[in-house]
Amino acid sequence: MKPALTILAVLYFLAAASRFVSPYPPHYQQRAYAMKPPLYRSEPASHLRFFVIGVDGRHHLFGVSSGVFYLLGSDSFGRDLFSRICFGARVSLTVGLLGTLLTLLIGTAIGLLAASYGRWVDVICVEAINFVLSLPSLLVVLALRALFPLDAGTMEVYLVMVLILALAGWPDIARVVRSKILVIKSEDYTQAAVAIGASKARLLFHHFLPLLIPYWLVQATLLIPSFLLNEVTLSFLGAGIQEPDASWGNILRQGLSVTVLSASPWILMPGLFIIIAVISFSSVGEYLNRRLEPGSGK
Amino acid sequence: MASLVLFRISRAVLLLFLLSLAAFSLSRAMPGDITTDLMMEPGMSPETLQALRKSYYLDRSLAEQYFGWLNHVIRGDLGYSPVERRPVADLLGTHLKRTIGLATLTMILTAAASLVLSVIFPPAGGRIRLIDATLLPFVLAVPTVLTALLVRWIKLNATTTRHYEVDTALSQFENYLWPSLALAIPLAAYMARQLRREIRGILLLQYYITAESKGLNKLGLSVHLTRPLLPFLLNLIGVLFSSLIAGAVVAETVFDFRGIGLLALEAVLNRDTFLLVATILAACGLVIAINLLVDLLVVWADPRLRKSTVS
Repeated sequence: MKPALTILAVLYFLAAASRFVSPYPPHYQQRAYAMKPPLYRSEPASHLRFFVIGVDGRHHLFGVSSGVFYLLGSDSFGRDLFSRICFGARVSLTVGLLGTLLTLLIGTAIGLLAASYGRWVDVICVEAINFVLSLPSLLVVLALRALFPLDAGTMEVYLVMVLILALAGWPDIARVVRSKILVIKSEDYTQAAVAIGASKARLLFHHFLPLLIPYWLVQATLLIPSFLLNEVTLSFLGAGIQEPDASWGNILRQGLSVTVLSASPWILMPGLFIIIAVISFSSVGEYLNRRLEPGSGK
Repeated sequence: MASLVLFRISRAVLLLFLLSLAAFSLSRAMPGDITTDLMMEPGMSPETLQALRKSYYLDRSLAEQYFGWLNHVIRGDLGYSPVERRPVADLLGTHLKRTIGLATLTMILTAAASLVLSVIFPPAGGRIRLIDATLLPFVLAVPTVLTALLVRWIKLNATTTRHYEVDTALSQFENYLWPSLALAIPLAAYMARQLRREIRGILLLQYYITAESKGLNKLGLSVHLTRPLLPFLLNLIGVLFSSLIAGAVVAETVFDFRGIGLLALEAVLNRDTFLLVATILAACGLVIAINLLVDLLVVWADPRLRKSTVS
């Protein structure tokens, strides 16, 4: 739990402070030094130091004042892989976060709607949930992607991806929220609250929503990594963040080229970051699940 | 039992209807229509475009458009792909066949690997630490993109690159083998984890403890484990097989395997409306059919279901 949180904190720090932590700007190309291996230092002796002024005239955590230094190697355009991974983390680590918020919001709203109105509203919601769940999720994501312009700016694509993830991910949440609310509704204390004339808002905010908080937290730790993987997949397939902007998925996309993959397998380095992030999130999730939802079982 | 089967079939029909509505709405919601791309073609007169629009009922009301379109689809006319310059139904047929082949091979590899990991090494003793706590979570955390690229990298190093086309049965099989290997690794880990979870419950059941304590050999014990797993196993295989129909897109992209996932992706990237709608219809229709088949097979595998009525 603690090491996982520490790792996540470091990863988010890399993303937030990417301008400072990374030795190069993400688009900075040095074509003469393309596809160099990790820990590459150019000769003649370059001065590798902490707190240097980089090529963009800003202070960087580490780097060289002359020559080149690649911590994790460079890609086929001679761009520093570590810098691109840091900047890519801004997209990859936050798409899941925002997507999860939106998914929980939509899922909870529809689950609540189905459980509290009942009758035909319930039937429609349950059928919609079952329908979306019966479709292959990657295909739903692709189909939704087709609804939005492809050649938009990075910011637009980013928001579109958040929206798509939420539109494809809400049914799972809605289904569970619905059944949880149905159980809570039949509890004695809820019946008692209704009997003494509690308003709908009071029922909602004092009896329904607080009991969903543990569920939200546990689901969030499951959804964030799965959305991260979805973003990686979309960008990898060329339907997400586009070059020259970086995301962990579109860095991996360069590995599609046989030449790049065989000459510089370190292009797969973002994969390592993805594994670390996913394992950290899921171990936090397991801890939360044990603590917050005992008896839910494994 | 008959009522259960009937219930399952009627549900599948309902899902197909909803699917057709969703696919139609998608084709309407996508920017542009069939004539948008063709307008750029030299030699396309406005009259031809108008006739084309008319033949796809684009000049009628939305409801008429839907039923007109459905009429076309049911008769097998899925439209024309201006990008691929072929009727969509043609494209779909070849790609679907390849994807089903790939999914079948992957499923065989997956089932074999996960059964070895769960039935031959059931979750007990030190294996819980080794397999359940270390191996499986790690494999599951590896993104499919990375698995596919790593398998590709291994392929690049393990096989010699041929600069000419070989079309032997072996090279054909190899075309399927590598992508299915890349797909099977994460799926096998997922399936093994699910099976092990289920098996942990069976290991505690009286009949299994009895069989164990009377000294039944390993093979007999495996059979004792597998039989009650069968309905669960069938469900799992169904879910994974359907996930492979579209989920193979990453492996298909990495290995340039012309399957249905890649077709859908290219339709999205090229804004090929007819092709996209048709691939979605075909893939989702296939998934619904697989789910129905699995539902019916489960009724066969779990005799208790045959006695019960619709719940």
